[in-house]
Amino acid sequence: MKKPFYILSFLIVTIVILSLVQIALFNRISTRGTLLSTLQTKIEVLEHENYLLSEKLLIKSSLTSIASNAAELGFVNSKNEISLNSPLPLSLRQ
Amino acid sequence: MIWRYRFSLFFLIFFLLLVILRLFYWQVVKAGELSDLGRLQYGKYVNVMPKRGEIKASDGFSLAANKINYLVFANPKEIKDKEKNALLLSSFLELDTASISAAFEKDLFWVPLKGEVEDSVKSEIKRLNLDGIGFEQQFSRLYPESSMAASLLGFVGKDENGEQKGYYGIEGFYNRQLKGRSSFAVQIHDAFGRPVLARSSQDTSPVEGRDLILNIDRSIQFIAEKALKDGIERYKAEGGMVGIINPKTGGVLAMATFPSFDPRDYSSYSSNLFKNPFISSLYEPGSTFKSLIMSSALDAGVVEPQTKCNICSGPVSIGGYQIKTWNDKYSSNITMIDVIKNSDNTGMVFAGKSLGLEKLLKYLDSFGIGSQTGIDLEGEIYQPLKPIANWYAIDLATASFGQGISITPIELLSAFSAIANQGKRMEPHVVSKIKTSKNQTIQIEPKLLGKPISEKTAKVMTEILVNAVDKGEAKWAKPKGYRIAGKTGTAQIPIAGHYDADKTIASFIGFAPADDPKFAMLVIVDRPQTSIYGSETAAPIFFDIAQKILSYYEIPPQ
Repeated sequence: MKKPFYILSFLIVTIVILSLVQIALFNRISTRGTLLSTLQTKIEVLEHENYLLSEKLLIKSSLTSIASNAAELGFVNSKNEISLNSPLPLSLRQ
Repeated sequence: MIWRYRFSLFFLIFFLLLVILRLFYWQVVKAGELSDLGRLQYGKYVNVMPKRGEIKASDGFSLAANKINYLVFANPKEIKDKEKNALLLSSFLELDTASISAAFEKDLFWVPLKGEVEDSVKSEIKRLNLDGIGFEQQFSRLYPESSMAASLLGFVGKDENGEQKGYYGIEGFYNRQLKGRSSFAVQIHDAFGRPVLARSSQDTSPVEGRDLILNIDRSIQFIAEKALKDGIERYKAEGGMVGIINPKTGGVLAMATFPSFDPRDYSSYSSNLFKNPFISSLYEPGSTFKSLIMSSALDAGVVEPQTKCNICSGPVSIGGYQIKTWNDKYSSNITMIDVIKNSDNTGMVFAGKSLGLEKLLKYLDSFGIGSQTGIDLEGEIYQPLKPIANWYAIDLATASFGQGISITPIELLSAFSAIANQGKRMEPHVVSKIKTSKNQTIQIEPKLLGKPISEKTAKVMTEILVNAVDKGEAKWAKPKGYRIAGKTGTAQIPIAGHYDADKTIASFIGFAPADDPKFAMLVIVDRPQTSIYGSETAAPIFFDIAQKILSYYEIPPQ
């Protein structure tokens, strides 16, 4: 008669322990879930901002844009280029 | 008692087993099907498109990037004041109120209003807090350099399923690499079937498209486009194109065509402009072709640079036709060096005849004439050479100076580059690397296509071409202090069975520096009006670009 009693007691205790563990885990996960969700939203916002800034950066740093801005500011192409491909004479170096 | 007890026990166990079997059937065997049925009750699958791969120049700058924009949609059943909403949206979406109102009247839960809406516009609409209006994030192409290299890049349109698809150029050729793999998500809807404006979960994560890193040098592309556009305006031409490649690797450094189109607004341009004429149009190359024929004759040993032409004292008659020089001036006993310098057609007939038809065709074949170059762009065409039996004496004569034979500009540039690369012909290639979504880099190695001429012939021909630039018709335009090898070309255009003397395709092909070439370039000007000659139109454009590239590469004049 004692054997079934032990088995029954063991099962009840196990069920209670597992239930408590489940409650504790759920509680923990639910809090973490909110945090995770907040972090994910933050990542999405930052990624979105990053995208928009990349777009602006690409457009501003394009050669087309730089050339047009330079022309507006009055820059002109150099007509005479000088190449210093040999050492300067000693007299000029002083 | 025992019998009844046993019967009851057996009966119960039997029923229990039946229940277990049924449960196993539903829980294990039919689990997937039931799960799908369950999902269909609260949601439906929607396709999540991956981000398209970017196309970057050799410096890593994106020529075709992605930008975020939105599809604005409405759920007409949730909109209370349809008239007011339509009026407000029409000003933001730049649509007429009537078409928005018509969309609101539809007996649907989801009606698209406008795609590719900018982020700023979306924010303004969102601030209005209109009921029944939602946004779906999308990606569309961003071209930071506007229409730069448009005919090379191609554009992104839609396929029959409404998904993004690349057309023409790199977008078309590398569409599979660029597009990535889409995934599915479940769009939740409520008990009445109305979609909840949120997405629940993604079953598979999309594989983003691969980035392409090109051999295209953004600075050289910019220089080429500007010089070409200025040149076309200056010479009142109908169009033009420039191709620049690294003869040692076959890497395409720049490719510009004019007129072109704006890939952001491709639908408002004629579809004729979508084709890249550098690879998709045939033309008669004229005198630029002489460099290939002369190289072949020299390589075959049938002529030497100092060989004198014994038929060049006047026009040459072949098969009832008279072949003249471009300026109707003739020099007896002209050498092969001067034949190229003066671009003498009769001298080229002499070289062609000395070579003979069989050898000429063999050399043209090894130069890749009459076949595709294999360039990695969508739309490359070619015209095979006629079978040997169909060639007449006049065909051999005219082909010797580049008339009566049709090729694409890329065919000519690829073949000519062999002279600049010690006789070795490389496959022209636009893409140098492919970057996967997992950040792995696939390098595309240069590919040797053949060696049509020997290194010695290439050196001799280079000197002949340097002489042609230094002493030929285009010498006035050449930048001082540089050794540049090149050849002018003025090809008449065949119209309705005859050549129009006033309409020409002027061109110039060359490479620099002659002793250690960094680039080979072909400039073509279509029907210039200020002068019909390549030496007065295409050559100045060529030298203008060459001078800037040499400065860019920090190569000083000698």
